[in-house]
Amino acid sequence: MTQALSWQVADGVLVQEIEGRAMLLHPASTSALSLNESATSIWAACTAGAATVDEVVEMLHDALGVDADAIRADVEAAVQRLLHEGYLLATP
Amino acid sequence: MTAQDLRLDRVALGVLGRRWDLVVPAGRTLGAELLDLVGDLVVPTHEPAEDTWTLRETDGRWQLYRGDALLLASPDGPGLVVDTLRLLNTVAIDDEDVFAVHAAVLALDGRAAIVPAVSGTGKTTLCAAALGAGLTYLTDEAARFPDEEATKVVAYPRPLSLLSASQALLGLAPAPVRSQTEGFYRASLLGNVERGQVDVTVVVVLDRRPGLPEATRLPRSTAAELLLKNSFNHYRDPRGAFLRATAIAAAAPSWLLGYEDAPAAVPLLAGLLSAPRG
Repeated sequence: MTQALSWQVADGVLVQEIEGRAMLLHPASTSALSLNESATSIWAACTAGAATVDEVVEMLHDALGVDADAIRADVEAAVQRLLHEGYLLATP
Repeated sequence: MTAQDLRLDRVALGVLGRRWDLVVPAGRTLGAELLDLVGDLVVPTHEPAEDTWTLRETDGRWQLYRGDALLLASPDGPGLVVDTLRLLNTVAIDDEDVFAVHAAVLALDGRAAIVPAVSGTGKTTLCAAALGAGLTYLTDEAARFPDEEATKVVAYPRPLSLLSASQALLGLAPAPVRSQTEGFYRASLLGNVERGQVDVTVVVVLDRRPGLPEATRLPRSTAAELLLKNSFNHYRDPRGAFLRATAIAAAAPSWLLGYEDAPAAVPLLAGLLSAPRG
């Protein structure tokens, strides 16, 4: 389950934010990952130290006042994508 | 062989970042047509050529040489000219070492729109239609950004290759140099051509679809992604290309230009170039 996952942000990721949307370039890749506003907030939470889905949800709830239950599925999906693309690295 | 057969015409070309000399037999229609086609790429000959290509004709057979090396040969002279133009473009792009994007670039009053897209999207037809409507042509193929601190794009006004359907749509006379499916036009015969640099102020993404033409805003990150994806050489310096693509997108608003036929899209494109910067 995603809730059991923890991760760390990969080293060397290049980030540029344009109009509130982050673009990421992995150090081992030649193509960028473009994030929408929600995914950008999730990425920002990860880079601010959130290392589990619960921590991301809590951070976004505190910062933006969003309903934790309403955003959990989006957070899980975004985290899975970031893990799959190598921008987050699963930790034991 | 007569004395006339031995005379040669030589022109100096600037093709993306390279200096080329192109040599053709003097007094031959085919050679003159080739030189005329590449006329917009002619540059002052202050610097020595990095490469010299020579077109020769022997016993009714045409050949293209790079130095002493045979590059192309054909009994079909116009076909060889077409292949020469394509090879010139391919070699120049392969050698390109600054950030360059597969894109068309059109300008109006010193502002440029970059249109990143793969081949077959309609860039060339849009360029030809825009030339006919008074916009200025920089390229239909490669947008080159040599200055790391700016969004200045350098012109690469190569000849326009138009399919028969596009020629008919735009009402163009048959091209002097053509293949079975395409005709080649020197852009300056169709309208205004820029040979220097222009500041990119708009990124335009083409959306060919039925219906009335319409321009809708796109996230600038989408434009950045497309600029990077359509870069010829981002793999050589991924981080540098990423920073250039995002810088260009951050400086220029992005629009999705939906249209069915190129002439109908040109007024919208002109409007985007005329809009206040933001």
